[in-house]
Amino acid sequence: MKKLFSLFVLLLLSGALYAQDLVVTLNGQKVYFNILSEKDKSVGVTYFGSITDDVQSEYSGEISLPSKIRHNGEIYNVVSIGSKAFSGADKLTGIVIPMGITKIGAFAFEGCTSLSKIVFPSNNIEIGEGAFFKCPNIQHITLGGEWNEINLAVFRWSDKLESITIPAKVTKVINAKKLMHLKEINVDVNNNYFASIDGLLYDKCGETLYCCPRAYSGNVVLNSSTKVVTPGALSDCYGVSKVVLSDSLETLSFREFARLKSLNEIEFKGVMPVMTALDASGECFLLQVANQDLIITVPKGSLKLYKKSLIQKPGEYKEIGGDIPYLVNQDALPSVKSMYGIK
Amino acid sequence: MKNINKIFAVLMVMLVSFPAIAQLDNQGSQDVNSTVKIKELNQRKAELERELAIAESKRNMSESGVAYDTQELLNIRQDSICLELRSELLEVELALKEQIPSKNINSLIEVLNNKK
Repeated sequence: MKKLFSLFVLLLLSGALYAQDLVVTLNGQKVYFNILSEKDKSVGVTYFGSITDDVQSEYSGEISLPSKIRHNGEIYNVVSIGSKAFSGADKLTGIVIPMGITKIGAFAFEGCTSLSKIVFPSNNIEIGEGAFFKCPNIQHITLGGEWNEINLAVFRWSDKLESITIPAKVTKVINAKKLMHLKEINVDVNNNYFASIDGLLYDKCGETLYCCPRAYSGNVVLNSSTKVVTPGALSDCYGVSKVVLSDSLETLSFREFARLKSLNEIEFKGVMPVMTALDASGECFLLQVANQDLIITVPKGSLKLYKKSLIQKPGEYKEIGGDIPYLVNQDALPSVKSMYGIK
Repeated sequence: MKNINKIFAVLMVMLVSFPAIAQLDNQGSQDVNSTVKIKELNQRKAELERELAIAESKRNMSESGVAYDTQELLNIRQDSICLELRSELLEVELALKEQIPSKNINSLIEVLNNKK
């Protein structure tokens, strides 16, 4: 009898070999959860079965996760999306993550090749390593309204992410340059820290350019009141063909244009050249470019001054305020012969 | 008649006990399988950790003489290699966690059998 009883218990407990403790059907779709804490009544979304099962994930279409579920007459809070929860769900097209979920586990959406829409909760959320690894089709992202900081590198595997909107409370954006296909950065009008002008990311006043998105193409015309181009703001924007610099510009690094392969014109609106580098003598007007044939246009009345100031000598130079010397070769220096005055 | 009843009772007891005993024998071999599986997983985990350490050391390298955009592509590729390894390592760790319940079942059966 006792052996029969133990057999019964064995059969019951063998269910613990699987990730999920329970399943809930949402709009005809089964969603699997595991109980994280009976005491706190919290659950996390997980995958079906064993991690070693060689079966395709069943998750498909657009799923709006619940913030609470009912199980055995009790209400459980959904607080996380577990590691690998949606891994390999190649028919999953969208995910809406509700308030209350505070963690997305590592590789949670790995290989969701059809995933194009993500709606994050307004609360802060920890996003695990590789959460969106091998998700090439992410296109529409709604970021959290209460977020203070965004690391855009979490979406770096997307080939389709062309536009992003920074929410109102964000004060720090990092790794925007990791998004190779980003063409436009927008900012919520209620954000007191950032502004978007022509798809470029500035400070609220428009005086500091923080970032030109990498896939921006054509002409970059800086805001007329721009004083500072943050080092790297224009870097790696391979589609930019012309940059127009405001007459209020005070801070610009000589290295800013070094990798802009499509750049064929820089227009300076200022009557005085802006100092961009340090040499042995002090501050100087130096430009390091990818295309030596590019044209530089300046105000007509300042042409002589610009020509006289433009450094033509290769050598080691530092950025103003920097300690690292950079070698600038002759073929990276634009010629004064390519400089023209315009009215 | 009494003898027939006795024989019948013995047969019934055997009939009930046999599958339970067979299951426990089965559980014994499952236990061995589980131990072997855990050993294999731990070996794979150690291998992946070694491979990952090597891959991580190559991440974000900067080689002299390599054009910036080429270097960037190399770094992106290395980033993916590291993540593939991390992903596989995570699967092994999750598989190891899944092996733990079978040990709990064995312990429970042991406890129940000891109470007999």
